[in-house]
Amino acid sequence: MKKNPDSPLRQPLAVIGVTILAIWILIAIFAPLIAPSNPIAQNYGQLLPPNSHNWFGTDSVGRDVLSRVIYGARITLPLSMMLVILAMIVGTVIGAIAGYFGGWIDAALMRFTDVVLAFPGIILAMAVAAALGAELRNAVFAVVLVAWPTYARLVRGLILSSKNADYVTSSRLLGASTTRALFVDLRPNISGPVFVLAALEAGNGMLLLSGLSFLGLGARPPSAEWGAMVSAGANNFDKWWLAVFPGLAILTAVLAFNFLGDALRDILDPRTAKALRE
Amino acid sequence: MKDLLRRRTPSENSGGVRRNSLGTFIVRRVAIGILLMLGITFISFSVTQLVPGDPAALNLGQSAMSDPTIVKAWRVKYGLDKPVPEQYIIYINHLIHGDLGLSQQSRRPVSSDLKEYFPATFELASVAIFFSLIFGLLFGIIAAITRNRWPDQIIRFVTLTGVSVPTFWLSLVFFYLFYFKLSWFPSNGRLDPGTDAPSTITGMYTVDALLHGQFSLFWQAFRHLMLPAIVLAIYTIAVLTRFTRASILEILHNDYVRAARAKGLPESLVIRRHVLRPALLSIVTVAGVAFGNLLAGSVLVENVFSWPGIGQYAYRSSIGLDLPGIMGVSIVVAGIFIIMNLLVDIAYRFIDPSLRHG
Amino acid sequence: MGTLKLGRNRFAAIAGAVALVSSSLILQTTSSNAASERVLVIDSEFNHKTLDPQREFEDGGNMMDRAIYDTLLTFKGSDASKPVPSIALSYTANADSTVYTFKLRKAARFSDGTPLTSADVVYSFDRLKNIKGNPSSLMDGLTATAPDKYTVIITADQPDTAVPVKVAGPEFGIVNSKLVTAHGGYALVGADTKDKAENFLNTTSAGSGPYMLSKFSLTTEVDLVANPKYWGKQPAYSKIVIRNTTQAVQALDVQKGVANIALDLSPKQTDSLSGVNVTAGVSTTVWFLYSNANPAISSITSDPNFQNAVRYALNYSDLTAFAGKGSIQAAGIIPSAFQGALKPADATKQNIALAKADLAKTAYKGEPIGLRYWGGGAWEGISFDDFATVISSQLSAVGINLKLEPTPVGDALTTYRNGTDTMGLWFWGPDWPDSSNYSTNFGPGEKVGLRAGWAANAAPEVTKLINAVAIESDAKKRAAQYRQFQLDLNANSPFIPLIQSPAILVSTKNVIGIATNPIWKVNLTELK
Repeated sequence: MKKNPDSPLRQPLAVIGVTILAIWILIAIFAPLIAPSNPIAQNYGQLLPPNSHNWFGTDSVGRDVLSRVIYGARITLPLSMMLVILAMIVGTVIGAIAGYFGGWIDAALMRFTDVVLAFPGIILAMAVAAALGAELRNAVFAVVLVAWPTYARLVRGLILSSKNADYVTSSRLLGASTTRALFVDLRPNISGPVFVLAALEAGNGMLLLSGLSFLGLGARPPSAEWGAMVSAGANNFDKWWLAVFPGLAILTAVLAFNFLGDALRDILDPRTAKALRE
Repeated sequence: MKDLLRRRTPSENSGGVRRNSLGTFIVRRVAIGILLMLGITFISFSVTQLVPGDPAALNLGQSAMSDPTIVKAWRVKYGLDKPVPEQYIIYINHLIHGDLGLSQQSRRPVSSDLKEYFPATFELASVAIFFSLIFGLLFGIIAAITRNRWPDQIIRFVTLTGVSVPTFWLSLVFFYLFYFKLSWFPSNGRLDPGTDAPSTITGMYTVDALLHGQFSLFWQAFRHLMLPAIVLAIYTIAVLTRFTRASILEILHNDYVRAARAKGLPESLVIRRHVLRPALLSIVTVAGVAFGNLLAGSVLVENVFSWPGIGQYAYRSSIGLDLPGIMGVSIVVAGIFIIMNLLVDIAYRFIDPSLRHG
Repeated sequence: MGTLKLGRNRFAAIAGAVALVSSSLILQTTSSNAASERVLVIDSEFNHKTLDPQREFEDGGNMMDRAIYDTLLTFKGSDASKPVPSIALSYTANADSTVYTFKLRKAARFSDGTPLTSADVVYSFDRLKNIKGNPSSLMDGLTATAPDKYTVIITADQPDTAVPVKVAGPEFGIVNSKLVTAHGGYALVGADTKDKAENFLNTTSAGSGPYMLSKFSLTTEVDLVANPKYWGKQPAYSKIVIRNTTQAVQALDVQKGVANIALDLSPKQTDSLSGVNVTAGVSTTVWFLYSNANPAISSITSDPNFQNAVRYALNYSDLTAFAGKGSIQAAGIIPSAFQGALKPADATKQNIALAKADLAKTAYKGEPIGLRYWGGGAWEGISFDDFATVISSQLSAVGINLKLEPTPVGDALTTYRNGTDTMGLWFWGPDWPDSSNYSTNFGPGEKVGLRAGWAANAAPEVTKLINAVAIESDAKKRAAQYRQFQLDLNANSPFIPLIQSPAILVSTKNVIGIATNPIWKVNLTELK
């Protein structure tokens, strides 16, 4: 293998990304141990600026913002990952079926994919979340609905280009079933790029999810979700701590995902990397 | 070469044979576009049917709701008394005639609402894309030239931050800093309070003011545009920078560039004909797609700045469960999206002759 | 790899251009207004749906129409209980409050110069009734006639002591009948389909008030200009600009002087403001909890002991502290501004021991009881979510475990109106400024009563009282009956009144004559 000037070890950004992500995951896991107080306990005075008791200040009903930011990791991180995994599964399955069987199945599924893709993401997500009711669960569903087409297209493309490769053909000639062909022969070629796409898209998913919560279409109080906390901060501009800290939390988490995704993409074979650059 | 130009994944490429007549291409794409629009109407109609609550409850006052005759009259007015499939057919029928229905919140035709809101977003998106192109190209070129050295690393960090920052949060921070604390920019609204808008030609205050020769009005409108446009531009600048960098780098390593150099062609000619032109091509296409995205995705920025554009309209329709509003916005915005993609694809094929025989 | 000299030059050129543009933008100052105009800028969160007086029903619309249209009687300043003459110089009522005779002034004219006569009054009132819009129920049981050019008679099917305060509402704004008819207006029966004047009234006003409509939008800005032909004294401001602005931005705008008045700030926001005047009043909005009295919905919440346990468990002074400066405990369901309101001394006081004792008499074992409300909603600066959170933590102190059910507004309104919620948190803003609005809605078997599961025969004493006050013509006796009505509700009913919201107006120091008014927020015509 030729010396890769873009190898991860030479990319400080990738290292930073993984580190930040690891920190957030640890924060999420150990939240009850780290957080100074219960995120929904209204123990303190309302709207206090950062002080020695409340490093990030308090909100409009007297809850500690630092604790809420810490516990917020327990909502945003798992939900974003779940969202990505769901979109990945749905998109991969649809793309795989389309790519493998071809013909009218391919045409129909791809037209459907195109329609969903043509729909501007946030507008569809907003309409769906509003229609179903403002709840985190519905917001996640709405974002998955908007996110799966990218995976479908990618997988279909990869399958189309691999489908006619010699090893697949010979495997089928030897009597392998469709399932075996899909799962055993083709999957290794596909999973790499799909996971890279997932890493790249995870950040967007998190932004869309917290965006929906900001608009009031996602998390409901008293849950400590970062987007909803920024929204509360929008009502009190001069109580800057209400919006700044949750916003920074979102920023660093998305940043970590993006650093990671970027680095992963550069590791891959450049041709596949190009195919992903949409 | 083909990899670079294959901006689209293979779904557009059925069977791998490209039509070589531009006319056929356009006709075919328009037909696909219409089918896509039909699909859009179906999806947005289905979304409106998901609504579990009663739109009447939201739009009629308490006393009115308790009077069955008023409720019934309201339902009839908005066509909600008919069975669902019939409602869809009626909607499509009206749509073909250009009638997008009546908004339940504003009680005006949705098309009038959209005509009023669209120019505001178009204006905002145009200014944003203008900034994005300037800075995106600039930073992308710098990053490509100084590949992997410190300017490149810094730009890479900054652009990754740019695509990671939540736009709603950035809008809040910018508004507080630059309006309230520093007074560099004015408050919300497209113009100062009480100022009359220029008489409508395009609906975009900046353009209309210029066309009427009202230069101070133009300046006022432009200043009001700046802050939301800057926030919108940040994401697009980041995307364009990364794309420019990647495109240029890729081309620089291509065989035919090396061949051109080996032939002894002057460097500037090599750059101009073999590097910049194809790079510009794909950059323009990405910019086109980005513009479509800006038109559609400005919801969060418009929300914070109370900018009266279609993003705000979409938000208000969603929250108020204004079904015709939701459908109208979805269809129009998706339509714009599709048209932008179509224009970009046509420009693509038009500009690069080699594709026609591809 | 060669250098891209092209890039460097372009870089310099672009950098230069950007620096030039940005510096001129920053240095640009806004141009000042023409010298003679006095312009008032008001920041408001728009909630008006129309400015057609016979169709509007929101307080935003009230505020704007109050300045454009005149009514027979009106209120001064913050008052909403003692009507004073406006178009009508005087009025008399018959013994059983079924016939009211109004004598009109002769000098009133519309903005186009047409004299205002009784025909216009009757037209407007008929139009209000027959359009069957949101405010039409205000004309229920009432009929208007004009025996001569300057007399209007209103007859009521049932005795109605609230007619004088009703006609002061902006929905009874008198429109120029000839002008409106010429633009598609229709006032007689059938107006619900035949009247097409709404769009006209939203572009050009047809009133006799001190202001006229010059720009209308549901979402951006509404402009009012002074009416040069106004029959009374010219207002101080020649132009009023009302801009749709979010609450948070209103705080910034009024501090910088970009806006003169901010309408929607909450008391907490005003704590940190400087350089502005804060006018704090009490609104007539009453927030209340109810515990569903229908045994079919819940055997726990319908148990009067449970209802009283909730009533005595709440810490009302903490609730008013939460709502902010200016709010008061709602002593009864009728707000303090109206005749017959309870005094603060009569209000329910927290009594934890009593609450626990009452709770012990019920079958409640600590299971979660759903409290449903408008999730994400806020009214007059009070957030439903926050309010419910505070209430829930207070009740948990006595062992009542609430399960908060924030619901989107459409669904929340539906289940509320259907009477299927186990517990609900809502508010009531009066449809007309009189206590009769409460005795006709909060009793057993009445509209809001049914929402709380209070069946028609559940409290015969209360029903008897309600029937008595409806026909009582002596004002003092009525007030006593209303007070008793509320005491009965506070002793034994599904309703638990909580607080009255604060009404806050924040203004720049140069605005004089500002006062909060529960019907139209602020009287634009009184500002100097």
